Amino acid sequence: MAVRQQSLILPEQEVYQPPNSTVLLSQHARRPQLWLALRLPQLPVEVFPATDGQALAVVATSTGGRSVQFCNPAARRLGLRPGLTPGAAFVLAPNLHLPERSPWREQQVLQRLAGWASQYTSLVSLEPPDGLLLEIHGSLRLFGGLSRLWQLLEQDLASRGHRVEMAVAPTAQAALWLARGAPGSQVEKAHLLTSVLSRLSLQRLNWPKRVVKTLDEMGLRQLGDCLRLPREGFARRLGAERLAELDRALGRIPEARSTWVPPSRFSLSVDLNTECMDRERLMRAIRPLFEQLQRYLVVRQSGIQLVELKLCHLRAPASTVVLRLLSPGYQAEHFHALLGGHMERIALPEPVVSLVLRSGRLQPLAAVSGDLLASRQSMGGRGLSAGRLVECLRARLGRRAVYGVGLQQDYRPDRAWRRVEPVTTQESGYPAQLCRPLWLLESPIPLRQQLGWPWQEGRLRIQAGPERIESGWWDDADISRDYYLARNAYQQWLWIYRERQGTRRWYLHGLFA
Amino acid sequence: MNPGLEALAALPGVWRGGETATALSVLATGFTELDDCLPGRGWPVGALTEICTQVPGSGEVSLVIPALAALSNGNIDDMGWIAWISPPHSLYPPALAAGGVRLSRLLLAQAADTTDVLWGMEQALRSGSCQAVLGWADKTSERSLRRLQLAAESTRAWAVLYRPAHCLKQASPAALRLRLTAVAEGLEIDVLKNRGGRPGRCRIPQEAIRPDRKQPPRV
Repeated sequence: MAVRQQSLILPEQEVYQPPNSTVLLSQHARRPQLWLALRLPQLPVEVFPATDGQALAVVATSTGGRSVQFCNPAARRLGLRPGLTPGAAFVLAPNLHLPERSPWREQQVLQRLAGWASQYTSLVSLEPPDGLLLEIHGSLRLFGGLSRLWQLLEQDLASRGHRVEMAVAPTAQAALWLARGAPGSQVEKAHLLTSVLSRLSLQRLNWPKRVVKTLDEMGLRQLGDCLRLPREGFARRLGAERLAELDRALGRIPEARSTWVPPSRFSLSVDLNTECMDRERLMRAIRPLFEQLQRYLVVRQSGIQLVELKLCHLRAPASTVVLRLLSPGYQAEHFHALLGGHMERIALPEPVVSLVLRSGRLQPLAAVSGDLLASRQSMGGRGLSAGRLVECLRARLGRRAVYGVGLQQDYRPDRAWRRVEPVTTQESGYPAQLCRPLWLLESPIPLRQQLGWPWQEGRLRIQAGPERIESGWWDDADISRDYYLARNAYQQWLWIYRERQGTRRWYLHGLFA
Repeated sequence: MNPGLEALAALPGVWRGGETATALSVLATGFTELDDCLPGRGWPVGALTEICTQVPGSGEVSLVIPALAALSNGNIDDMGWIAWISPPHSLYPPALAAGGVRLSRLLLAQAADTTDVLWGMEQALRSGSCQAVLGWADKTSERSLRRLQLAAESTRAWAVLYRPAHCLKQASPAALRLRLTAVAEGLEIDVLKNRGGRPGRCRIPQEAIRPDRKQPPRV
């Protein structure tokens, strides 16, 4: 699954939450079933990126020490075989890429393939470490029959860089065995199942070595040989579990399989193939992630209001960017533009080695149809982009620096208003027509006094007042002031007050501007 | 008028000085004296207005309040923000409400420096979601002013840039440039640049702008 990557990005791994629903899938259920088992024999190799012709082999540690376990075709052409030691492998292929086997990556890819497979059927089940089961009975008509569907799956997987072995059978267990022992088998009718399964070699059933050895010593080579044994004896010698497997394969007892459940949130991590400090390049690298997020959201007809992007460094703790949207959004373009504002401000302590993108809770997206005739200035245009502007400004100026305002019922001038979220449509009623300055100072400035008169570049001329404000005894922020309207030498209109208690000082509290 | 001249004036492609080339879209200022000085009798919408003051707080905000009140109470189909980018002191909403401005239309943003102010204004203008954008800036390049002017033109929004008076030495692409001086008798306005009109001077009498006047001018 490697070849399709662009310059900076390695294959992405989606982190999915574990499936949590188990359904009872029964051969005896009213609805007939047809299972397609899909096995990826080369998955351990395919999870690593490789360009065409690059030899790649996967090593793992077993009892015999570290050895090559899987090779890609290029490596095989150079003579590599499973079982070689890493040293021997490098002798054969000096340019070999030899990563450690990564079960975690394999599971991520399998999870993603389950997501991909759910476009063909509503019932997908995982068969770790390398298999998927698709219940396709209900999909046959839609996709134009079994052979057509088979072809589609094969092509699709090939384009994703996977080698696949498939088989179809009326039971899940039989399909799995056939995919393993006789790939390509297509058994649609239940009554043909026994004869096809009978020819399967016992060596290829993925049964424990001990069991296979016992059977071999008994002279049993094929599944059909087992079917002729008495049930009680078979169960006693080889374990009840084996018998149950046989019964499930033949559809004699129902089988419970857990279905794959799509994750409720989007999460995606990407390793950059070079460390990167350059914001431009990072932005380009992030772009495909947002596009994936958009596809994910569009399929679910959902939007999100929260996106978290982690920029992981080698040593320093990850830098995190959180994008907040005022209304649920889904467009990659929009996320990318917002991120642009954040990226200009964020300080990167170290080069970035990988990216993790997570979405917040999914919210249903109300369908908005564009107006055919609306011009840009009409309500449609302004109304839709109103939230965008707030998000855009916040991305660069900071969340708290952008706000709306509302009134509060309080006589104290500095508490008569409050900051609110900018998208508020309700209107508080107009207050009485009080004389109030357009600019209120954050904290009043003490004025110089001469002969008891307020002074600022000359004596202030009182124009109106006093307006007495006495309030707030209940929350220990009580004030008792006489407010006046005054003008100074620059002919500015000022709002000043005099304390009624204590020092009786004069203060400047606002400008009428 | 001479009938021959009239026939000439009726020809397409002939326009007379003193008439504006295109129908300006304007916003009445609420002050008769100022309206008389401006082409189309109002603030130019879809253009940049530059207001310079010797002393900040001379009445430059009060001057735009009647127009903003009219905008914010205007046609619901044309709803949009009235964005304030970095006012030098905190804007006091009760005073705006008393002036008739609907507070739900206000969007306030505090920017760290002039670059961010100009960026914020341009974003607000270009977004198409603002009816008016007011910003405070000091030193700016002519290029960034031109960007604001173009942004205002592109979405037909009213852009107001407040600057100190010493910036008047710099050339500006703004459609309208005013210098305000508060005097004892009222507010003196020098119209220094007036696209589609003539430079001039007017004085708004004290009674029209006194903070404790009984009725705020409504348009």
